[in-house]
Amino acid sequence: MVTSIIALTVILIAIPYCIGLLPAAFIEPERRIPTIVYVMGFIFSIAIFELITVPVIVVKGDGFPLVVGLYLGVECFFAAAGLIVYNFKAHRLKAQGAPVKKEKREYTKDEMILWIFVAALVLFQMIMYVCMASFDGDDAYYVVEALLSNETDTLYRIKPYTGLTTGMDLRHALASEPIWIAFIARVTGIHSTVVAHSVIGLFLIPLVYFVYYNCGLLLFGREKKSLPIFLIFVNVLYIFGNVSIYTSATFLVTRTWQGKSMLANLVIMSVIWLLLAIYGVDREEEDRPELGYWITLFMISIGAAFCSTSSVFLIAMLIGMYGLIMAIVKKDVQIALRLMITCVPLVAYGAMYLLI
Amino acid sequence: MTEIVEIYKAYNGTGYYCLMFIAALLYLWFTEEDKHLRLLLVIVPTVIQALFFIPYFYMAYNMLDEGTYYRILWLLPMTLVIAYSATRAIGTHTRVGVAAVAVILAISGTYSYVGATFSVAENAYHLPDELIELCDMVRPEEGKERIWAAFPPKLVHYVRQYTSEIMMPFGRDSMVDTWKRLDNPLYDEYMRPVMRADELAIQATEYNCHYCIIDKEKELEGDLSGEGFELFGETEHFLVYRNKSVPFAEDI
Repeated sequence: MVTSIIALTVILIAIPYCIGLLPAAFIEPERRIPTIVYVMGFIFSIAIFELITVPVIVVKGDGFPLVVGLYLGVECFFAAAGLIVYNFKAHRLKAQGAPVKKEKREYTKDEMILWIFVAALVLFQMIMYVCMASFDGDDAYYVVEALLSNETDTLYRIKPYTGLTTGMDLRHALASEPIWIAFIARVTGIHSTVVAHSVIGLFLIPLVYFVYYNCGLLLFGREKKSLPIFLIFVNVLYIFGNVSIYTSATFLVTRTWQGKSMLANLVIMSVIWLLLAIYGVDREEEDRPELGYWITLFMISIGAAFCSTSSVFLIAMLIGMYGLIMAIVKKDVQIALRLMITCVPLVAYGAMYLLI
Repeated sequence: MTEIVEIYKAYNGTGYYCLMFIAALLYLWFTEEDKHLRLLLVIVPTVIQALFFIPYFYMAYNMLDEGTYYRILWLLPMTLVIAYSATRAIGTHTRVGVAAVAVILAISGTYSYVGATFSVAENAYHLPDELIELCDMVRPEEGKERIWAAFPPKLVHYVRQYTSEIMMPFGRDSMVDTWKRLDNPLYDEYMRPVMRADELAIQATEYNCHYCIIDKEKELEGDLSGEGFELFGETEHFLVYRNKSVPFAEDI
């Protein structure tokens, strides 16, 4: 139990956080806050997983141990790189005379109460995730696929419904999220189904709210009180968002552990956050570093298929439509061109998807 | 066009969030002074929403992925825009404003943790305890070959989430009407209002099933014990029969 918790903390918090320091080193110093660093690192991590896993799935049917070893190694490499680059940048800033410590923020009583509400609402959803079982037929595919990889070392070579052997189905294999669940199960020693149904949501639910928090920071700036109010409303919209089986809120609540839910709530929202971070401010007036956001957007393109094969064209549509409309409205073709470059991995995935 | 409207209505379901989203867009259209936020949160989502209703866009999407057109609506930052505009709208009336908006949002939606798909988790697997009891009864000992077992259709979604050591003659792929499925006489037998012991025994042996799990509530015509089966065990709602005609791999 203790070993499992330590392993979970390392692979789902410490390593992604350290990796996040890498793109975060290339954004404004005042924006290098834990929620931004962690979201960036998590996106980076799933992109690395997708890059490693898909080729192994294709060439080595029993390659799960290889995925585990390779991914752990590459993750550790990038985590170390993140620490080194970030510290290098921080030292350089210090040498340039930038203030080392940020001012301590004072909270009013009202703000404190609002933040306690936010924390309580998020905690409520985490508790419900663990205590309430949600039946979803797709688990017979995705959760079993994760269990199969962990128990048999195979990658998409056994029919999850019956157990008979089968050929690789690349349309499903492009979405490596079930194998990621298996990876967590293997490293922590927890049963894959328990990871999906009782563990992973404890990380994914707060992560979704971190993305909204990051958006809120950009939307409200110095209006201290507005940010927790905004997050309370976001929480209420999720807790009461099960208006049909199709909404993103329903997916987060009823299938937290599935790639489709991660697509609807984490990946799409991260794209919108990054677009806000890049284009939501006066770019002409500020000479600010934004490479970290671009790197993260590019990593989303690489990792998009991790969640679901349909995320390939959904994310391409999202970035494409934003790029095109912003280019037309702002009469700046460079916006569309820059965003199109981030879509190159999506185009490659799309070609694979259509050719299969 | 009718199909698109139906998809939109189905997405909106029992709630009013789509209407709220439109109201939030309108509010921001008239009040948002920041030109960048106006573009990102109002203009682009409005265009995407308009595109959603264009039949050619619908046809093009269906060529990529049929049956998931509702996912275009995921691209609209509904939650973000509604929450942002509501926060702007209440202004400095924090206490009353937060309470009033939260109540309106709650009433306009549907509480997420109720409904037929939700139940209190019986264990960390989120699988029925009784299913785990059944699987533990029939699963092979460590190091031994996997076994085949036929479970009642209402349990097949769960079995292989617990262990991959139990193989099944039919699974979810036999149950979804809209999927093309191969004929499976054993599944058909399980689906009969009254199951026939003789036919069940023949089909279970045909599929090399070591075990058959029978719902106690299900009517069974004949006696499986007379068809080469023996009662192996039982739980509160199910009987477990061992098929003596199918030896374990280790015994061959």
